[in-house]
Amino acid sequence: MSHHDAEQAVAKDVTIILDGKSVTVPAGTTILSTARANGVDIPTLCYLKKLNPIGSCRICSVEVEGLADPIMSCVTPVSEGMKVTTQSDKLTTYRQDMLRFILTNHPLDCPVCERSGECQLQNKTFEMKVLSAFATANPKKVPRTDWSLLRYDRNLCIFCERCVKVCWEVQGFGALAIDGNGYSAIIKPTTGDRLDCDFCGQCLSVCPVGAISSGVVFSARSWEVKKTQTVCPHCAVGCSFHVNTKKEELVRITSDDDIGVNNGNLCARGRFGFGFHQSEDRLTVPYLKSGDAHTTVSWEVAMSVLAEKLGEIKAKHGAESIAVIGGETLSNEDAYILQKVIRNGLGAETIDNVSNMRNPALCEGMFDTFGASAPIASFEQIEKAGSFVFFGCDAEKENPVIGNMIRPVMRDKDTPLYILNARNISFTPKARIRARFNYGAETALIAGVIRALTEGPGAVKADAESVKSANAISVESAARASGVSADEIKRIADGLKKAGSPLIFMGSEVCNHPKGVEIVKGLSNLAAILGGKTILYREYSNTQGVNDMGLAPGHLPGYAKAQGKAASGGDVFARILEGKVKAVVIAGADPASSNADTGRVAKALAAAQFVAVTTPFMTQTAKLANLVLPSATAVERDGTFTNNEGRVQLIRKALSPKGESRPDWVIFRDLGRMLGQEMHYGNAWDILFEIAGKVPGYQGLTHDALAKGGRLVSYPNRGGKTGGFEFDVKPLDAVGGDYPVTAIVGNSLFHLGVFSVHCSPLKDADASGWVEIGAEDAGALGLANGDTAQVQSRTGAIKLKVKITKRSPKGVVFVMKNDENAPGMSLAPADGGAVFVKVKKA
Amino acid sequence: MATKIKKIRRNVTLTLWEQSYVPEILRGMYITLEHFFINLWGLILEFAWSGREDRKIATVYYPEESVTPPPAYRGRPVLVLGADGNEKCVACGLCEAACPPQCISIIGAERANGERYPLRYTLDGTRCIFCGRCEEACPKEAIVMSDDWRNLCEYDRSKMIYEKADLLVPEEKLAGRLAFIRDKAFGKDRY
Ligand code: SF4
Ligand code: SF4
Ligand code: SF4
Ligand code: SF4
Ligand code: SF4
Ligand code: FES
Repeated sequence: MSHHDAEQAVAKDVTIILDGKSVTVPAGTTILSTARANGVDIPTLCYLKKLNPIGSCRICSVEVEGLADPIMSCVTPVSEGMKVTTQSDKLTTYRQDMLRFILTNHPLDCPVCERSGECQLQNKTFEMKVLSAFATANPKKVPRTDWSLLRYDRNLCIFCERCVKVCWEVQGFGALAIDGNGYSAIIKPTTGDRLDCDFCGQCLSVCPVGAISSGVVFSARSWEVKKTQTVCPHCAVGCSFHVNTKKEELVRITSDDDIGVNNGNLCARGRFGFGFHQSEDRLTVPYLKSGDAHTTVSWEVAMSVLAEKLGEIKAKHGAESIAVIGGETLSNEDAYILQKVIRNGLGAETIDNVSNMRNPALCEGMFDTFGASAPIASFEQIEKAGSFVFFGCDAEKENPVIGNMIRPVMRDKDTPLYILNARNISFTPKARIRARFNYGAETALIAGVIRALTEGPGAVKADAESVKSANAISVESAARASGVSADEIKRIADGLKKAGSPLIFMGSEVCNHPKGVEIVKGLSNLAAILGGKTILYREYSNTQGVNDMGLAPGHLPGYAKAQGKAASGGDVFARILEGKVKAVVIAGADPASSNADTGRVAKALAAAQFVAVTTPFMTQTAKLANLVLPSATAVERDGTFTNNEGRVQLIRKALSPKGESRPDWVIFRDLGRMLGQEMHYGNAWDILFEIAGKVPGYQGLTHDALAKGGRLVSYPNRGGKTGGFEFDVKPLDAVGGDYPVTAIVGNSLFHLGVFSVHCSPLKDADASGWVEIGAEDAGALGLANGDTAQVQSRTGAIKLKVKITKRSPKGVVFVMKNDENAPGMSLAPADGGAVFVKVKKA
Repeated sequence: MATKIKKIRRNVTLTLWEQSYVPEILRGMYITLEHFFINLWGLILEFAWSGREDRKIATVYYPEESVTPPPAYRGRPVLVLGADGNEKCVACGLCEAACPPQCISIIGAERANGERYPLRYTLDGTRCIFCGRCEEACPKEAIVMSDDWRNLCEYDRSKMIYEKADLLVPEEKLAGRLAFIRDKAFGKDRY
């Protein structure tokens, strides 16, 4: 039964006669769903399970007793006593005729059509034994239109409307519409002549024919490709997709409907961000720095340098002088082996990962309360939630496919949505209330909502602890501090109360916030009061996993307290600059462009005695390293990732590593062996086996079990509570001074980390390196769209292109994080404080 | 050269005469010897006085002499180069799929005008079995079996991996075969 039928399922049952057999289904179920639920197949063409029925092709027609003509089963709900016939000679002819109507205008372009071989029109024509069309109408040939990352060929379009519907119902964009009718009909972008959309490619994926094709020319044919199901290497949603390879070449990414947590949906990064795997920029051999330049060396030499240098420095300065920084795109197996080698082989304990370094307070705060490094809830909660709250998260851009999970639920159940943000972010479908608060006053606003919920007539009964901190502030003063009116706060509280059990999403604004922990605690209280849940967006594909695997200071895999000795004081870079840390191993990360105060990071890396980096690209960090080891990307290795909801999912090898590059676990296993450790691991699954045996929460994982959709980690809840926290309701002091503008640094829809800049389609869609600024501020500064602005903070200055938007309110700008030449993080202070900048015309 | 086609009796039940064995053996030996002498005389006469044309024997003295096979002959598969200087192939991959020993390998691409063409077209001559399936599958008459039988052998196997440039032959040179497949081999009558 499809989603749209679900809501009517509460109504009483209906019995119909289906092909002579009596079947009972809930009222409101369509004939098609009834038939499919009872194992009767009715052919369809335009119907798609994740969409409301469209009813454009008439292929699904069935006979109903008492009606002269066949009717469409996909749109017709059953009614009591209905007698339905799904197969008859009359129907066969009728369906064949419907198909002939479609074929009348369809050219025989199969040999050059990208969809050939997986085209549903081809399949139906073959299945239904249609050998000829009525006639060829010979309509005017319309040239194919270029839609940037997509292309549209009007001649092939059968006007099933799937693309239009998916773009609206699932992607919430509504970028496509049918224009005209009959022979002059055409699918047109609603964004003007050019298609200017999310480029999620949902329309591409559901188009049954080749009318919408990829802008990345498909160099193979559908039947030649080998499809390996794996997980997206970009963000933490952990979308499943198929890597399509022909021989040793990655030719495209596809995703069947119904696979993975993403239900076949992807975002632009997932669908078009694959070029980096086989980019010419990939490193293929190890490099060793001699003098100022890097020279290529063999793996034997590289590995012996690595082992010797680390041994030497340890002998001279002790284990505390060695530090490790892990990237968040390492697999669980990589991370596990890395920390094992460093902890057991070298006795070092200065181990960290990039997300933890960005906001150590947040991660530490979380370990003790949630038993994980973040509040976590399964995506299944989305179906069950009474309402959704986006708090400090740009749901359309950060973890985009979570939005795609939410939209159908909102469509079917009318679940209300509340957006509370420091910027004017938007989301479709519309939010019940969209409130913009002053950056820094988050906790005050949360306290205000809690107060409004728990006082006055109709107050919610809440545990005293969850309300305690909120009592320090009144609704009125919360309103004053946050800039959200008292009335609005009350309406939010009312709405949340009525809907019950909210699911609160917290985004990167919270992760990177100086008061992130307080916000998380406050929202956890709010959720606890209303019986809801919270989810913190994670940034990269395995941010959750590397924390779980103990690539964090003081925590062994599974969050047990570590015993080893760590260098103390400040983060790794501060310790290098103080001379406490001499050698640093950086695995799969680029701190010189992604950590706060990149200038300081670069200085520290230059000051260190020995820096070794594993990376697929010559990143800023790699340029500063003494030893650069080429590592394999996510499609070149086996392993597991743990996503946003704590689901462990398999990543599978679809290609051999480029050149001589090696998976990180191989590199660190070999290092372990050279350091005299017993490392019996022959492949990634050996490591998974050990993880499944030893790491709390990951116990009992097997490859075969994971192959069936992954498994949720059962995190130990150490604090034993999910609400009732004390939190600080005081707004952040505005200490901008000379730097009057608050900058929020975040990811764009098309760029994330070091990978996306090596994908040309993503670069085409978004050239990267921009600052979003409100019209008022821009006017005052004399900036126009497309101008170059100098954005300067205490730690650095970068030049960015100006984008004037409604999204940025007065006094707040949004800076894109990932740009090789202008890293947004160079503006952020190392202490994790708020980013204050001044902007001027450059 | 004109060849006489002989009617052959194809019954399986042998007559009494045939079952008696010896006469048939003698008849067989007679035929063999007849050919032996025809060839012997042909050879001597050719070198002695008669021209090649009159001789009765079928042997072609390669390499001094050579034959041009009839259009039905399946020699080395080649790609047709159209009059506009572009290959006719649209990289549809049907030949690749049809080829029994899987010796074809194509990487498709697009021209600026949106037409598909093979960026690379590799045919492994060490594996080709000259079955002509590629030609039959091709919707564009872009690959045909040529009459080229001379350049099929190499001392080095790697030279037998033909790239697109090695395979392209101008359309005019293939006119005979193209006409043949259009009219006879894959013409309307056959399907
Ligand atoms: S472009 Fe594709 S999905 Fe959209 S109406 Fe045409 S055939 Fe259907
Ligand atoms: S790519 Fe996505 S947003 Fe763009 S038109 Fe297609 S479905 Fe809509
Ligand atoms: S939402 Fe994240 S995991 Fe999913 S396709 Fe996009 S980048 Fe990949
Ligand atoms: S002739 Fe047969 S074996 Fe040779 S390339 Fe064509 S299909 Fe393949
Ligand atoms: S079948 Fe013809 S058009 Fe298609 S790839 Fe082969 S040669 Fe080219
Ligand atoms: S499937 Fe019902 S009308 Fe197309």
